[in-house]
Amino acid sequence: MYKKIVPQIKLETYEKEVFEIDLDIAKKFGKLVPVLQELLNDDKPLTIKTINSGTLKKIITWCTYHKDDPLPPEDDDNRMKHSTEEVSSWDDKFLQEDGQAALFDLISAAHTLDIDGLLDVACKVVATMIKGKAPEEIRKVFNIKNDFTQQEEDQVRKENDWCED
Amino acid sequence: MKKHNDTNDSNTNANQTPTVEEEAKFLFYKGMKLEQSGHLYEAIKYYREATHLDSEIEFKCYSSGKSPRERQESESSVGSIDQDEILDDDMVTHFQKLQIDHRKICQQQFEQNATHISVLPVELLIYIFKWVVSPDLDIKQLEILSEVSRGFHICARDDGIWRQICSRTWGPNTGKLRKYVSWRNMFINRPHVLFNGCYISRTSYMRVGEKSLDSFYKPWHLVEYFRYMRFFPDGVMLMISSSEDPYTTLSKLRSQSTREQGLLIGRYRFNGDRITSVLKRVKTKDSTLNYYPRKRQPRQQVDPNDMEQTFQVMYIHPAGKIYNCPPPTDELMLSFTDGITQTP
Repeated sequence: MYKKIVPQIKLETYEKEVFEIDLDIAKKFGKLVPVLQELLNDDKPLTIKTINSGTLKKIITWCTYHKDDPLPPEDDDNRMKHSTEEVSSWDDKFLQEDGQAALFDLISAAHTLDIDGLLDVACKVVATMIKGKAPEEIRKVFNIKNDFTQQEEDQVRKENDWCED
Repeated sequence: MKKHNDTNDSNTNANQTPTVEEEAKFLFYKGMKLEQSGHLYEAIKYYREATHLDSEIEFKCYSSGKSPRERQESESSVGSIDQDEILDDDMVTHFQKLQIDHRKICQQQFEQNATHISVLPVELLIYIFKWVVSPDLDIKQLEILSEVSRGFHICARDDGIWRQICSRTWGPNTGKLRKYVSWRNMFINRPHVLFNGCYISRTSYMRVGEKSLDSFYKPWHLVEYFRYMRFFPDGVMLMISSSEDPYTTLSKLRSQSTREQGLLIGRYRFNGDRITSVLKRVKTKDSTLNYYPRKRQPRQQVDPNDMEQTFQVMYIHPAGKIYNCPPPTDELMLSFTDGITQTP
């Protein structure tokens, strides 16, 4: 019986786990596009030390789900203009289900691999977490230390006075 | 580069010809002064000359704190030096100086092993901030972000974000910085419309009423109506005239997709500190239904649905600053000369 052979590339993660990725999916990784042909011929996996297995798994899932999406426009400005719509509920759930840390891993990885669609939607989710919150709440949500001195804090507040109602 | 071995404080040889280091220091301080007063390009010129004379001048100047003369003056009140410096300095430069040692954007309040937001490089954090701001230009949230921590402050003041905000506010008329110190400064000080609310102008006029039979009373009607205007960053504007009070109408102007009877929708653009816009009435099912039964109206009347009206809108802003206009529910911020052309 005829079996269709899907071309695949191999990536090795931080944990030295090797993943086989379909070419269609790998094409979404902007960084890899110029070297895809090489990777196809090469039997040795490409090692990406900054990405762990869990994150890569998630990236593959995301790219598979969004396989047929059109590519986002090249420059930032246009991308933001065209994406006033909300994050889809699938994306929202998918990105948040593993918590904040996984989300930041994913953002870093999407940045490293140059996957604009994923990067944008993940940043949008973080932006939604920020929106409508006061400084203290933002610190709490992201576990950020308030490293201002009292004087600095006053000064910054004074600078921001203009937009107070 | 350093030609003189003499590393003594400049006080000792103040009467001799200035050393290269002193000369460089002088230029560097001049640059610093200029930078603080916002003359960045001139400042860079001086910095460049100073580093040309002595490549380590920046480090030397920071380690010595203030310029020699100022130091002499303030020697008696050593304790207050630090505080003065903070207040004189631009906050971003101040934090950048402090931030140089540790590369992380922010520190954890409680220890955590899982990935913390601080792993993200600066450009990614700025990118996230851009998403916070856009597309509805939520400036207030950006300013709130600058109050979170030192690192966040640096990112939230990023010129790239503010340049984007400016170009989104004024579109092709944004122009260059010129008299403004930074893009943020331009946004704050240059007149612009607010997007986070609605402009309302209340108009009232008197009209003679029908005489009563006994001609004892002479009735007058006090007519009052509101004109509501809502601007969106992408150049779209909504306008509606209504006698309904603000509380009922405001909620209807929340999004561009609203289809209220009598709503005018169009585009606006800047022309100096004047705004011009072309608005068109939106067809609604309601309004067409209303027009058929009214037979008293003359036949040749243009269907109001097809009328195009051009409005010239001008600001009244005594301070020259729009941002400190009272919140949306206050009346009369804009005046009109409206209905200039009415073409069928």
